[in-house]
Amino acid sequence: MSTWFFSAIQKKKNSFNIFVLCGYFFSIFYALLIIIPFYFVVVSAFKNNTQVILTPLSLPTALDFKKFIQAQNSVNLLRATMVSTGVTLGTELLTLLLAFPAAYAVARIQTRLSTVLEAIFSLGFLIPGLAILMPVYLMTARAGLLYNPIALIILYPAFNLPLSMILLAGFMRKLPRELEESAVMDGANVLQIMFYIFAPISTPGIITVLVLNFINIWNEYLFALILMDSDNRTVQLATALLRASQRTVDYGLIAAGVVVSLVPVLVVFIFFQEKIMSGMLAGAIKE
Amino acid sequence: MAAINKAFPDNKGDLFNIEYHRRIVRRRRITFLLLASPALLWFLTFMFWPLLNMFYISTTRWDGLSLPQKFIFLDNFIRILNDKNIAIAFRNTGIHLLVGIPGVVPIAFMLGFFLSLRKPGYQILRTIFFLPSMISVAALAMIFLGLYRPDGMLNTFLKVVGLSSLNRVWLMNQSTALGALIAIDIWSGIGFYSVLFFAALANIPQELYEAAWLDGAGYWTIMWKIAFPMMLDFFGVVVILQFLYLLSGAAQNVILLTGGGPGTATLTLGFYLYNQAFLTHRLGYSQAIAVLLFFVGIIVILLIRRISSRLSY
Amino acid sequence: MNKKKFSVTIALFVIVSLILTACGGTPAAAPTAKVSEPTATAPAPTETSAPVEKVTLTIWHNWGPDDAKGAPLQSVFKDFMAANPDIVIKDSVYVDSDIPLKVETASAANQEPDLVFVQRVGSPIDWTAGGIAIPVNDLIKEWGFDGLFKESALKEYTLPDGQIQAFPLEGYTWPIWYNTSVFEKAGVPIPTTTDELITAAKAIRTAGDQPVIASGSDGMGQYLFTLIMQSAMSDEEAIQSIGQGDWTVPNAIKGVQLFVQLRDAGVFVDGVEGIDFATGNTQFFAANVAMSHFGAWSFGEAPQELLPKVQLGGFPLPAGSPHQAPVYYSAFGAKGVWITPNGAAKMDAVKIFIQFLYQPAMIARFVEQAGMTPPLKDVPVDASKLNPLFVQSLNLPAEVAMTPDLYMPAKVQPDFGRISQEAFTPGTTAEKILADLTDLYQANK
Repeated sequence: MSTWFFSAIQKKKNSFNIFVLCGYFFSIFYALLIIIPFYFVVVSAFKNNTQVILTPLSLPTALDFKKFIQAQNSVNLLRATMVSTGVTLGTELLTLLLAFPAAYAVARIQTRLSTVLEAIFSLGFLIPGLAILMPVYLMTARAGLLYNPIALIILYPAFNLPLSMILLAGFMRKLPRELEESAVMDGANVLQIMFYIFAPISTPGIITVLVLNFINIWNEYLFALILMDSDNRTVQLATALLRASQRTVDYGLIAAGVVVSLVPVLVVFIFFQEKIMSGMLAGAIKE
Repeated sequence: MAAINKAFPDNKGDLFNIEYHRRIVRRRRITFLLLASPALLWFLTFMFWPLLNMFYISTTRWDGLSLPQKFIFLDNFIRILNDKNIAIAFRNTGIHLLVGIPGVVPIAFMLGFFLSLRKPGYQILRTIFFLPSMISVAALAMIFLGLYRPDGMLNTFLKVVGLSSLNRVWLMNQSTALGALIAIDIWSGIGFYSVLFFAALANIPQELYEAAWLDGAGYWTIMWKIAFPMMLDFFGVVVILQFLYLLSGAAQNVILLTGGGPGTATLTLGFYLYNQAFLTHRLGYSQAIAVLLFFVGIIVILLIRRISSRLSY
Repeated sequence: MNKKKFSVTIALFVIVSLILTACGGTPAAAPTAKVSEPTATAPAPTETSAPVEKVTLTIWHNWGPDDAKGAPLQSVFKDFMAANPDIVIKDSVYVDSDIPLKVETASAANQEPDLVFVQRVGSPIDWTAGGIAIPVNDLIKEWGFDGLFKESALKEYTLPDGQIQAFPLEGYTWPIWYNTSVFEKAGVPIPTTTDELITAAKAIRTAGDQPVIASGSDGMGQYLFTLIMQSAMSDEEAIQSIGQGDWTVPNAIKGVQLFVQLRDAGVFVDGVEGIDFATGNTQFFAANVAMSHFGAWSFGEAPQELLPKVQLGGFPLPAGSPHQAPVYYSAFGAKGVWITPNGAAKMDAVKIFIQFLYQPAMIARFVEQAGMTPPLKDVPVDASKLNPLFVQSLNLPAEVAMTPDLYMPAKVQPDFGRISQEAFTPGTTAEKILADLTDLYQANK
């Protein structure tokens, strides 16, 4: 009886379904809208300005890597990518370490303090970075961390905390009370509950937070500009320099810069997303 | 008394024990503070102080980081009321929001739902969708300049399909400049939020969908009658995120592509803040605009929260 | 996911990121000392006694490896350090428009570099007033530079109260480029009046080419806008209108109307309001455009085949113009050498460096390799090494108009570009442009 059931469902799922067709249609359409501009950037990295402007979408005449070499020589792009990657990983970790316990506290511990805390954090969204420029610079200088990427790793979590905490708290609120109660019955303390039970279950929330924070960290310009020097540039600073190093914009050069800074990000994204997604699936099945 | 160290009551007598309750509350508070204080500490150091700073600077006249500040009380705010540009910026930002939120969030949700069905190829699609968020702002600018230039890809494409009458100078035309910028935000926003929705939707067990299948529901119904209600809170969060981005972050595109022009066609509130702070060096005034944005932001966020919690009933 | 996998992933995360950051971060040696003692650091850098302590001069500039002036600058540094083993130069390259912000923030914490190479546009104008840079009047005398700088160069760095803010370094000319072959093809002579220009434009279009290209969409185009306006006014009237916002000056109004007239007569290429600097360059270098407005920075980029066809000059004059010859811009504000309080604390080392840099032989390197107009009166150069366009630019059959950078108020500057964009856009009337200009200046009083 049950096998008949399931094969019926399978049949329905596998058969021609208009929703899925439309889904594919729009997805592919949108994907093309993304791929074409990226293709434009990648091929431009092999061309000179005239070719970029007059024949943007044509394949390059030769796989000439000179723009890449120039980009590397000009602003040490590889190092900038390394710095950005290190800062991103460090910040993500620190933000998670700070936000996760706080989110747990707000979502699962019944006390009036949690509403207060959430309100305080919500204010954080609306503060422009410009306001803390000077105080942060002074703090960093006094701590002897000027021009050290560690300074960014310490600073950025503050910007990302409000959102991370509120998002994680939102996810955690939904989860059933029984999870904790049974764990407490078994004699677990708070830290154990948090780490072994809530962390795996909140993986979608954690991923969301990681993804969001990544954008903020990777694209941050102002504080990286003020706190770093030319040896420890982030990717943003390096590509900006490529763009502005002379009055005439060299599109091929910028394109080469973009391609180089994109590759590690792509690799990390593809690699880590599979690990985390598969872990999540395993967690769900275990239920 | 033994009751004091218990985490849960195990007899009726405990429930009437004041000491027990007090102890529980105190323990909870301590645990709470221990867990939350590192985050709070970080936040207060780097965010709270600047918030106060922002309010203070908005009451001064400060023409450059190297020049002295002069307290001028509420003059900056009076200036806001009289500034023609503020009204224009409000209008432009308003259009930006009215198009940029409904144009992104629902579509992103639908795409995210489709991704969550895990049909063949969904991983590639997901990576492609996320691409726009991975590149730097300067790169985005380069791409879209290449698209919107008078001899750029968009006009060339229109020519090729025979619609050359639609050719325009997109970024410099009063009627299309703002739209062109909004299109960029929609383009990158849909991809980004669809991945986010995918992560959120992945938590929904497939059995729910199967049950609906058995009842004869199609995907469309499942999407809106099952997935969407479960996602309402997250939906609200995404709307808030996009709102905040459009309010302040989208200024990067304006800075790099149109500089607020032509005339004032793309002058948004976020750009105006940047303009006053970094270009015309009216730091005091720029912070007054920041205060304005702050309060606007709070009001809108509260509104969105209220609506989304009302809807989840 | 089981606990082990989770912990392992986390551990990997931590290790990788720490390694990367450790590789990426080289904590700078210098800063820590300065922070606790503000200005009171002993201002006696002359190491007279035996153990030779190295003095490090930090310099911030934007002449990176991609800039034509980057190589000569590095060669100057190298030769300087070879000749002066006890002074080390540590230079850093930053985006030009970011440098003022970086310097000002650093200055508040006494972390600013010793020397700054930056243009005298925007906030640097306030630097001597705000204590971020020191005036150099006395230094010019004491270091033997009296009479060596061109008067016009010094004037551009002098405040109304007589303070000279920095040592002028980079000069430039900003001529109009004429592609003689396009004019020949159309059968018209190079115009010297705007009426001739309008006729020429028609002929050029009939011949299949485009007349005047400008970057109507970015900050460069605004200089053509002002140049055309100024072709109808005297320098004094320019100061009144562009400088002080008085747009009732009759010649200023005429200037704006002239611009609109030229635009509506088709003198600019189609879609000019959307063209940016790079596109403009490319199209002109593709050789079917008659005229363009590029500064000296483009000399090195013109393709070889084009060089013999290019004739440099000024912009044609309208009837009744107070000028004698077609007008162009030429100025020295593009880069100056500013000395900060930190630099002043190392005055001896700074003196040696500046004297070294401004030796005619050193400046000549910039002239020969990058086509830079020198700020000194006498710079012997090897003419054969010079870019032919640069040589032309030294002796133009045209008149210099005062560049707006010198008198346009700093607060108006960033928004002026929006109005020039509007002006390039077909359909904008002269009245609207004048009204917007008046509003802009009013708002910035």
